[in-house]
Amino acid sequence: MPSKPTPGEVWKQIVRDARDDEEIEKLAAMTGPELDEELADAGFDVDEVRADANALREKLERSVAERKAKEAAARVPVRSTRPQAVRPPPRRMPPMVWFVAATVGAAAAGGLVYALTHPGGTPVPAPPAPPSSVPAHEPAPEDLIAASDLRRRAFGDCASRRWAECLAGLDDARKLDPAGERSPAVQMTRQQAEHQLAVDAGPEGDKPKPR
Amino acid sequence: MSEKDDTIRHEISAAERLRFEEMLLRQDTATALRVAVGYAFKRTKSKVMARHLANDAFTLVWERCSWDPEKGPALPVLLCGIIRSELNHEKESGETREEHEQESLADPGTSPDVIPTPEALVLAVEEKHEDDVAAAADQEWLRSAFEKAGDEVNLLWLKLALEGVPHDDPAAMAKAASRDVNDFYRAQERRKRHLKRMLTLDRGRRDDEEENG
Repeated sequence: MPSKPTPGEVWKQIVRDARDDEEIEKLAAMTGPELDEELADAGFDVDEVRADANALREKLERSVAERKAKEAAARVPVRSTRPQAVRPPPRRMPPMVWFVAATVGAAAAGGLVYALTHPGGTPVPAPPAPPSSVPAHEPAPEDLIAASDLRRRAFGDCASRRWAECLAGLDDARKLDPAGERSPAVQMTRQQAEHQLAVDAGPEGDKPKPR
Repeated sequence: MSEKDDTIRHEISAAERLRFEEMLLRQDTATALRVAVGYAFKRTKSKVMARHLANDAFTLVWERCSWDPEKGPALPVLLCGIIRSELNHEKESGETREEHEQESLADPGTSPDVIPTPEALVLAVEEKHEDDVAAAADQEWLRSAFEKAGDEVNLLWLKLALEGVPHDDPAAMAKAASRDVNDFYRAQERRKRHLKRMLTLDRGRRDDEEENG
């Protein structure tokens, strides 16, 4: 039967925890390089620890993207049953903006892009285009991460109606991770940004837009 | 994901989960994880175990889906707190297991290697007495600090902790005291400051302070 700790044992634990708190405070106050140094001194491969953190983050991003995609999918049929949804409204918010907003939201974490273009256990439907018969050169992991970040920021820009920044971000990401460009989320976001830039430009909006 | 979400008090909806995950993504998770790994290593001295514990702590935060960065500690501190709790719990389980094993052996001290010498026994008794005196002085200092600060919740916390209510479990404290659990959560930071001061000041200085009022 587990014995109840004596007051003396409880107190020792309280003091141990208080010392621990000091240790935690010290670690939490460290800058990134200081932390890296601390871990390296302890014999850690700092890149491995960073990879752990990235893996957790990507898992979260995928989860967010999946949930948003589900949310968006749940909304689409409701909207599509409305007869006027077929007609493209001129300056009102509804279908296009709504649809793209949902899509942009669905991809806001950027992980969706990564998950779609670099499958690794995600249940999101496969992209429509068949894979190329010639295996593409796989970008370095750092480039994939950077591209993922750029796309996440671009989705955020798009959601905030900063269309030019959104396109620039997508372009930069494409340079680092060309395969990611095939992602439906990226394509739809790009289309939306281009469309909105044209709308914002007014009647001259038909002129070719910089990519 | 493992089943550790004992703090989940209601079914978490998909919308709640989504909001929580989005909030987590806004945190500096890379730094938080590294702090957690650093802390876990200091406690375990095992690199593998440290990474494992840090990852588990993060997963637990996700599972519980209850952390609020506005009200709770910062993410690195939260992760370290979870790791500490896990390690303390493991230690307690280990001690209980050892007690069981010893009980099953009926007489743990029959081996000549285990029987302490009379000198060692006297030394152990003296050390224990010194520890008890020091602990009593520390407790008195802390109680007095809480009283001076008018910190009613932490006075209650100290009393209940010494009575055996888990000192690191605000929910258990709240239940034992029939108070709002948030009172005990809010009291944590105040208590930490006092404890930190207690550790920093040497006993002589504390005695001087008491003498001078």
